[in-house]
Order: sequence, then C-alpha cells, then structure tokens
Amino acid sequence: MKTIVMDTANKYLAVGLYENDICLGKFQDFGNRRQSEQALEKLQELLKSNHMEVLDFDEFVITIGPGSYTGVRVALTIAKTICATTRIRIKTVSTLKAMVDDASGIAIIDARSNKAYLAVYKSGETVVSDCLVNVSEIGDYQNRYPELDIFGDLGLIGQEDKPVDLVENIYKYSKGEKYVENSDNLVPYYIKEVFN
Amino acid sequence: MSLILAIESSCDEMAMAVLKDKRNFLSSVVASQIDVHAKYGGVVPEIASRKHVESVTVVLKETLEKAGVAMTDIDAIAVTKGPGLVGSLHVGLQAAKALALTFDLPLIGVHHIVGHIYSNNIDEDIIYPCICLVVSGGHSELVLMESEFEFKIIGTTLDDAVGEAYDKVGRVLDLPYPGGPVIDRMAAAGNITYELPKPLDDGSLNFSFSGLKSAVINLNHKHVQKNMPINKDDLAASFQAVVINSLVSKTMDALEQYGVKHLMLAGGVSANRGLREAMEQACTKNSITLRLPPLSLTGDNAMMIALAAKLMYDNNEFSDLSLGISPNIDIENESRSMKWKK
Ligand SMILES: [Zn+2]
Repeated sequence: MKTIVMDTANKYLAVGLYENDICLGKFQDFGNRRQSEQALEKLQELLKSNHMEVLDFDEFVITIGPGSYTGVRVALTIAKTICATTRIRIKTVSTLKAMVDDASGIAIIDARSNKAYLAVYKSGETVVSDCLVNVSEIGDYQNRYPELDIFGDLGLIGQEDKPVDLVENIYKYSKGEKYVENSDNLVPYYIKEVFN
Repeated sequence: MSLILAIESSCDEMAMAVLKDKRNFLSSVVASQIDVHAKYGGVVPEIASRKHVESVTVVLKETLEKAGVAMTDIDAIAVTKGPGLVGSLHVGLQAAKALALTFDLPLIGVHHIVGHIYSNNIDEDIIYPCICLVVSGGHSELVLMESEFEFKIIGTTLDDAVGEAYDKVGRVLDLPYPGGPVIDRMAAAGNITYELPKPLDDGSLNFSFSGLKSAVINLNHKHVQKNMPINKDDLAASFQAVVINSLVSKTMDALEQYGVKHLMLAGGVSANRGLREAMEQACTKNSITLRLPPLSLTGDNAMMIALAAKLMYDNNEFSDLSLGISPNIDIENESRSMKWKK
C-alpha cells in the first residue's frame, strides 16, 4: 500500500509519501500562502528522490478543512483530479485533528475576524466536532477540559505554536477513515457559509 | 500530431477542451454558473471558487469522454494562469498541474486575453500586422500585433471596462444579470432619443465609460424622482449607440494611425450584435478586413486557451510545476517573456 499525504489548508504546506506504514519522505514548512505554487513541486521532488511516480500510488490522504478557503481547495483539487483519472482513492482527515498529537486535545485554527475553528478530541474520540467559535470562548473549552492540551494556532490565546508533525498525524488518523465513495462530489468542509 | 487538453477557470465558468493538431476540436465543455451569480447581480468570487471545486472533475471526465480520448493519449496540458479571480484561477491551475505531474506532460500557462485574441485563429491563421479590440466584463483594450504573440496595448480604458458599464446600467434598469445581452436586444427595439455625453473625445486611443454610465444612472434617477416614465428600450438604444460609436471610432483611428488593414474583435462584448454590425459597416467603408470570433467563442471557454496553447506548444513554450497564478499579468510582458521570442 502506497500513500501520498498532503495538507495545504492552513499556514503549513505538508507533503509526505508512505509505503506500508513506512515514511519514504516528507516535507513540512510554512506555506506563506504559496501552497498553491509549491504543493505539486514538493510532491514532484519527493517522488523524484524516491524514484517513484504518482501512478505507483494507491491512496491520496488530504485534509478536508476547515481552514483557509483557497488553501483547503488546493490539495483537494489535486487529489480529486488525480483520483478522477487514475485508480487512486482518497481519504480525508479534519484539519483540526491533524494538529493534535495522540488524538487527545483541543485544536484551534484561526478563522479570522476574532473567530476560531475548534474541535476537542479525547483518547481518539471526538468530544466536540469541528465548529466555529469566538476567540474569547476558547478559554471556556480549556476550563471544561483541563486535562487536555491545546494545539494549533496558539497565537490566538497568546501562546507560542508547538511543533507539529502534520504528515505523520494525517497518515495516522487516515487509518480510521473510509475511502471517499464519489470523489467528484468531494468538497472542502468550510463550516462558514459565503454569506452569513 | 498533437492532443492538447485545455482548462479555463478564470471567472465563473469551468471550461475544458481537447484540441487535436491546429484547430480540430474533439470536445469542448463549459460549466456555467450564471444562474447562481444572477441572484447577486454579479459574480461572487468565493461562490465561483466553491462551484469550481464541485465541477472540476465532472467537467474533466465529460471533456475526455466526448473527445473519445484517455489521459494517456494527451500530449500537453494548457491552463489559464491569469488574469482573473484568484480563487477561481487556483482550481483550474491545480487540476492542470496535477495532470501534468501524474501523466508526465508539458504544462502550458496561457494568458486569458491572449486566449480571447487567439479565438480568432479558429478557422484560419490570423494575418499580421493586425489590431484586436478586446472587449469584455474586465477589458476594453486595443492590442496591436505586428506578428504572432507580439502584443502592444495601444489603447485601454481609463476606468470601467465596457462590459462592466453594461452590467451596471443593466442593474439600474432592473434588467436580469448579465445586462449586456439584454441591453443589446432592447437597443435593437428602441430608438436613440436620450442625449448622453460622448465619452473621452480627446483624440487618444483610450476609452472611458464611467461618465457615460453615471449619466445613464442620473437620467434614470431624475425620471424616477419626477415620476416620469422612462422608455427603457430607448435608453438602452441611446446608451449602446454612444458605447459603440466610441469603440468603432477609436478602433478606426487606431487602424489608420498604425496603417493596419486587419481587425479582429475578441471577448464577451464582441458577441454584441450592435457592435458587430457597426464594426462591419465601418470596416467595409474603410477597406479593412474584419475577423469576428464565432459567437460560441466570445464568452470564456477553453477552446480559445487551446488555440493559443497550440502555438506555444509548437514553440516548446512550457512551464514547470512552479507555475503560479498571475491575477494581473500584463499582456505586453507576455510576449517579451516568451523564450522563443528572444
Ligand atoms: Zn474572458
């Protein structure tokens, strides 16, 4: 089983290759909003250094959102296009979950205008599903789950970001996900409507 | 022999086409979102991007199926790199780059306006030197071409694009979106009865439509205030006559100034019947050969991108996977940056 992992939804660009649970190579860096230009370039570099091509792979694992609208569409469009023209199948993982180590913790992502995307996971279970909250409400969740660490855009609560291995997390969590049945219908999980 | 798959997603249509050799189209698909944006009276960029993600692979599969080809038959991928809406451009670009990587194909990044211009290559080769009047919702430009892929802007709008002025007037007159085709139809039924200012009569080759647009809005407003009925057909006819007069006279000036005998129209507004007729008459009078794109190629489509891409393909003008979107690239730079032009 060979897997391509890609996340372009937030401030990072993360790309990785796996073969039977062994990571062949990975890349993670601040995307600086250049995820679009770099996502396929980085994938190409990883493929080249492993003497592989896209057609060698069986599955494509991406983050489905929530996050930057344009960002989340990048990996999703790449995966959909490849899936539509090859035998490769898609799995998706929540962008919030990808931030959390060992599937335990509170995940927050900047949603701009003093809002945050938030989810809470406890020993692998989703306790609070992906939602949109005011930044001022994040503290309430911390009080409610004092035993859980907080991950993601910690700048929102005045802390420094922790290192995160997105490729590893996304690959790990994809194990519990089913393949997307009709990838033509796959769309990002935006949470926010265009007009509220 | 070449097969090019072209993708265009710069605004609110997701379009793809397969071109065999120079001008043999095996398929062309356009997924329009016009009904969605009509509700808002104009294109909402975030909605356009979301719709593109929904339709991208459906359009791709339909385009290949209609052409009766598989991705493994394709020789190159062409894609609009700009100008256009950032989010919309991204979707087409990612799809194009993903296909180029997966099937190890050359990637061709096409300037949207170059595509519009080369829609005139559909039946036979463009003759140089020529001038192209590009008129659409985002453009009103006179482009001089001394030879293939040499673009010089000799006139441009100082404010609104002509299509933009049509849409705004359409909104004021409570016409369905997009206003352009409706005003064109109403103008044919109406008479020129309202006096409107002649835009930018300064001897330059530049256009200006915002003053005219404001004059129409004020005229309509005055009538509404005084509870006087306004004849919308007549107002449409009066507005359109001024617009067309400005486009035709500046274009004829350009042809004369540059001693050029070949003229082409391109872009969404080149579908305007009043404009086509007026330009035909002026060209006959001045012994100018006029080339009009087929109506099906005036709006955004992928065939025009493929036609331009074919010329780039023949000259090995390819991009690598670092190709990014360029929402504001200027067309003059486009010819200068081509490797085969150096
Ligand atoms: Zn256009």
